[in-house]
Amino acid sequence: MARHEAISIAWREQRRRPGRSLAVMFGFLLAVSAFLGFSLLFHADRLAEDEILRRVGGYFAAFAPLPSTGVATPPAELPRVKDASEGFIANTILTCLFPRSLVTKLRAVDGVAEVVPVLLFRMRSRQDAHMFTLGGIDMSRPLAVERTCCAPSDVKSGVFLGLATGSEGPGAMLDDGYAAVRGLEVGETIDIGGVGFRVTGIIDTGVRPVHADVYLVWDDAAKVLAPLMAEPLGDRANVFIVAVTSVLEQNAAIAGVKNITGAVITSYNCFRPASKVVGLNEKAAGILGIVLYGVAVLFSLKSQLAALVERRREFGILRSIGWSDRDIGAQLVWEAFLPASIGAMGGVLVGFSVFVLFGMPVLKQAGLPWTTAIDACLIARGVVLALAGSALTGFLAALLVRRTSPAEALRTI
Amino acid sequence: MTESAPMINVTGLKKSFRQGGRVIPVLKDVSLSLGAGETLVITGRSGVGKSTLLTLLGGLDLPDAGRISIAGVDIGALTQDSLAGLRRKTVGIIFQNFNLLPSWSAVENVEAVLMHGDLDLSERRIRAVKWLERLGIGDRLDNLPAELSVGQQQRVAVARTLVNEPMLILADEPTGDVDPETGAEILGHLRAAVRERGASLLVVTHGAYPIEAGERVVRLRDGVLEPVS
Repeated sequence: MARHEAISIAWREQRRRPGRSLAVMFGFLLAVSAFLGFSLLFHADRLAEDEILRRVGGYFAAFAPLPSTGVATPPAELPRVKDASEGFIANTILTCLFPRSLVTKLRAVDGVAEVVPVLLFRMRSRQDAHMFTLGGIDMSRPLAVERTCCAPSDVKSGVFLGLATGSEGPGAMLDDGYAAVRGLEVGETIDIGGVGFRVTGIIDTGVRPVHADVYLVWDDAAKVLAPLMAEPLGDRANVFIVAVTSVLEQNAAIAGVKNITGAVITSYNCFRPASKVVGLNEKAAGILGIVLYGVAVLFSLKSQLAALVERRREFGILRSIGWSDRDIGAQLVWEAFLPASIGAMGGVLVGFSVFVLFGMPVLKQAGLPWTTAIDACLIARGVVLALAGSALTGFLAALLVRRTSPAEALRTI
Repeated sequence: MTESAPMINVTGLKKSFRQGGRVIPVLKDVSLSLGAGETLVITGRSGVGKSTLLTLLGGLDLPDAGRISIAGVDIGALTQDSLAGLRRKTVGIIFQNFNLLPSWSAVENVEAVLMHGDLDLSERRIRAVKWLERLGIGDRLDNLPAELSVGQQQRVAVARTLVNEPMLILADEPTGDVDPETGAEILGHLRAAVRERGASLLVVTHGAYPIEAGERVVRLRDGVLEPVS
């Protein structure tokens, strides 16, 4: 028997029971469109988020707290300061120093875009003994500095550190809170460790992980700190600020830096909850898809079973004229296949339309071509699931037909 | 089939049905034999088990006891698929109530027998049309059974049986519901199959049947076959 004949007979059976056939088609349409629509939509959403996260990049700061045992673990080294009330700090914790040369190694870590050494020193004012934090920054690599410490966009008045011109040098940049408490403004002079610096800028850095009250360029900070140390500062820093190529690489970069320095890492991992939410959405869509597929398959099965009861005699007739159980089974599978295929095709169209309506604008906003979200495997999976489900119902129906003797079926009125 | 083997050989056939907890024996001990090119007419009153016997001979049901051999093959030993093959190739059954597929046209009903055979689509169609024309309903090819008269439905049923040129024809009241003229015509076609192809014909009927020379008649009564004088 030719395939087109089987399909033709199957089509006639659909027309014989149009309501039931339409219900089965609609069930599979709903299942495939939901599966495909949601999958493509979340896929597009994820691509867009990944793209945004990739562009945003990540950052963190690495430092080694001062050990209570008094013995530092290399490469960290204990700092020796003259005044015990002063010291190198990060996040209010006293820290060790690292050789600045580690920067080269750290820059080679996977996912690391830039590493900048920083000096953060909690010190006492030589004028009125108030405590403040001095930040010494290597401004030759601005990428990491801007993400982790301070950026030109933070400037409230004056200019950003290192950009001042004049005979008095780069000057000092103040945190706006510190400037307000001390009543300082741009253009005034501030005494830092007995050295006078002109205030060239006041900034508001927000919630960045590395924070100081007074910012100096690296060389100026080293000069200020030298007389406060009981040993030469040398080429050392107490904090590394690290820029990551993409927040998606954040964990790998943190692990790599930790492995080299043994440092404590502070980071603002806002991408983590976002990623979790995306994953939850996809899981929810998957569960919804499975539920809808289950409903569609049950619909199909119910339709097949009802048809079996109604057509019991017909199956008896077919068997009496030489159709084998296998022939009838194959026909039943075609009859289950047909509405499922039509429903699945409709589902592909509807699912794709949902993607066009809601997914494509998301991708467009992220600057991605819409084709990036089209996953042929995903579409094939949606259709194959529908066909497999329908084939299963046809197969079950065929098994039930097999269990009835032809004579018994022929006695059915 | 061996040269000497009869087309049908039945020995000690028994069949009973359960009804409301009661066992009703229908066939108590039936034995018969029908050779190639022979005709056997089984008469008997309604409800004596004629159709049941035909159903058993067609392999559509299983006997409680006894052995049925068709063309030398013990059908009790065949699988359902092999039995289907036997019905497709060797045995043609005409049912009392025609048993046409209600949603299939007349020509499709006839073609249905050939669908899982060796013929291609066009050959099947040609053969089905030829038989329907031969039976005088060539102008009703595309009509559904419900659109045909009882006589026309009977003709479609006969065409469906003969289109495959089976070597054994089992006919249950083949002329029961048709006018004498149509009945004679149908019998003519069945007898032609016996005469021209050497097919075996087994007819069961409760009514008058115009016996021809060479045709054997037996009566089914109380679950056994007895000769008719």
